[in-house]
Amino acid sequence: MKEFEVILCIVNKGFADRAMDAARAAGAKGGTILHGRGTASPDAEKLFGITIQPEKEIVMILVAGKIKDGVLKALYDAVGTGTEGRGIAFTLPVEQTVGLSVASAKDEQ
Amino acid sequence: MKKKSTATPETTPETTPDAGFSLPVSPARAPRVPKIRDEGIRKLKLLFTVVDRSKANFYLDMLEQYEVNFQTVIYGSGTAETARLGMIGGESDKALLLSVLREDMVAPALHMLEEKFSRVKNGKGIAFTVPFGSVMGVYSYCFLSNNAPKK
Repeated sequence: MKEFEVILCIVNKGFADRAMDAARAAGAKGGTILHGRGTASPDAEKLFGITIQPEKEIVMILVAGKIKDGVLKALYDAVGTGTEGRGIAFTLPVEQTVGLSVASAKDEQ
Repeated sequence: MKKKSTATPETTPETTPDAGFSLPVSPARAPRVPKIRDEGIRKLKLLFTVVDRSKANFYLDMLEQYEVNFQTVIYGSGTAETARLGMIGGESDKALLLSVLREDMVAPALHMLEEKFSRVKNGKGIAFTVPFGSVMGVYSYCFLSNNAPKK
């Protein structure tokens, strides 16, 4: 297990705060919100009977590897595909970090 | 008396490609894949750096010293509460810098960032690296790793 992982959670515009609140409740300390535009396939939209809102927010959260699964579960419950947030989330392995305060690193452990 | 030769006829590389020789390839048929100047291929890492928006250009310039040929900036916002920001100093408008680094440059670049994060006024931030899985083509790799193809 990696010491840290970065979670990228892509949600409909306006749901980043809800995602961040859920992540905090699961132990995350903070994150960064980025803005983007989604590009879903029109065929997929017809097939699943959903409309993809093009404006998206990306919540990037650096978390300790130990709490990653808990944060992902919290994100799924709060802003997952079954909710209005229509969010998807995935993690990437982090190899080296700088700038994290010792206190927050210990808290996350 | 002339001694009769019992040796087998000498084979040519063209007839025995498995004998450790390579077939001569005419220049016209040579593969167009460029040779990489360096002896070994070094892995690439994607460096994420999150800093205050006002310091984005400063850190972009700093990272360029580490043979970074490709950087991009994405603007965003932090999620710390406003009250907490007032206490520690800083702004909620953030910039995410994505920089592609060769693996041998990661340690010195992170060392520089760590020093700047602690010494530069309002220059606090975080940085981390994520490994690359693959790259689209040799030219892309050469560009991203600052490793010019051999002429």
